[in-house]
Amino acid sequence: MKPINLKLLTAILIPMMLIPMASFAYAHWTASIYKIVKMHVRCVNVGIITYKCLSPWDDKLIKRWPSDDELNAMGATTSIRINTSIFPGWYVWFGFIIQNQGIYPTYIEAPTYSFTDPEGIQAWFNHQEYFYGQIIDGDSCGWPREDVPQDVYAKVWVPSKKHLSQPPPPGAVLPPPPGNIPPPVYLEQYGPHTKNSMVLWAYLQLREDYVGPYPFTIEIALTITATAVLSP
Amino acid sequence: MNYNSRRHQYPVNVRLLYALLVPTLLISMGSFAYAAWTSQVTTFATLNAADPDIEILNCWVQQYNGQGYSLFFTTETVTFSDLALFPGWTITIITQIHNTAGSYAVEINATLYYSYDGITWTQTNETELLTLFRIIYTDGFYWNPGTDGTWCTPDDEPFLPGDELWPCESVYKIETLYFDAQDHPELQDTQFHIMVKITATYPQT
Repeated sequence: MKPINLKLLTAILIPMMLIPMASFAYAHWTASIYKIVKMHVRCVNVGIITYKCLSPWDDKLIKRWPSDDELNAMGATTSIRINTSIFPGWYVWFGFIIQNQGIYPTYIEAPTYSFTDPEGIQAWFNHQEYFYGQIIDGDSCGWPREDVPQDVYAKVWVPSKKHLSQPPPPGAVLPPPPGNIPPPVYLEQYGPHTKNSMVLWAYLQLREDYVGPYPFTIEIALTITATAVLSP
Repeated sequence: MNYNSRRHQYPVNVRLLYALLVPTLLISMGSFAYAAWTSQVTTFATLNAADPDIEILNCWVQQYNGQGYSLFFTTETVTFSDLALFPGWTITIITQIHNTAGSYAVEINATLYYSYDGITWTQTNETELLTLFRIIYTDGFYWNPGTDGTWCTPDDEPFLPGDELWPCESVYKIETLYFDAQDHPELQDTQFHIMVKITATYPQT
């Protein structure tokens, strides 16, 4: 009979015992904690919270979407549509209150125009833009909105050619109101006491010396881009 | 051997690969960053050529002292005739002119013409009508008959020069013709035509 090699047996058995013991001890005498990091990348978020279309030929002739009531219900919009008939010399003033509704400060850039223009008449349009932003402090605007001064938005008024004899409303200001600044306009992040809103007035006119062609249809898209101001 | 020789034949240019890959990656990342860190608001304005479109809604004789006339009208034309004028003959015609819903704000103007044959027309004015035909022509545009509700009274509300007629509104043209021919027997057996052309134009800006 071959003798048992005790040294070899011991060398095998001891690890066989220690390993389950170590596993048992690990299972019973350890505890774990977890750190879960949830990340959400936010977006730049600006919207038009109210707007006006002022024309001496009565802005009621301008079909617009959304209406004031719809826009109030929506809170803000990124898209406005108007539709109207125009003639040489016709013009309109668009007034917008643009609000930064995101968590990043943003720069509001000068608008860009694009045309869907099958008759090739875009060169007959004049446009100018006027920006009002850095004067806004959110507290001392003097009217319930408390986001922009009423002198650069609420009191801006275009006399109706139909009612020229009527006196202007108290404190009325013809567009463009004074105090405009060059773009880009810096808007702070959204908050109750931040400079997060601005006013833009845009003037659009079909030149008085327009000679044709007739009839025509043109779609003009005025796009305002907001760019996040990110920390370096 | 062949495989190796192929590899040597078409070596990968690592620098070129990096030169292509790095801008590709950066452009993609830049596009993502731009898309993610900007926001836009857009106003779409659809603008159509306005079509000044007025029409005749009504026409009637308000006052007349002759022996008989004929009057009919369409949306574009009023035709009146009286074949028995006499010195002192007079008529007042009121025409309702309506700016249609698809139109725009317009200014209204009237131009006078005369013709001997009804075919060839010559532009004229009140002074020349009196000289040629002894017709005293007076006219005016009015918004409404005023508070008394009666036309041709002092409180008729005038449509003044520069006033604009808006879509779905009406204006009334009152025209009075008086044949002042007591001392002009040469006009006997004369036939003539008078045309009043009413034009809607875009308002002056």
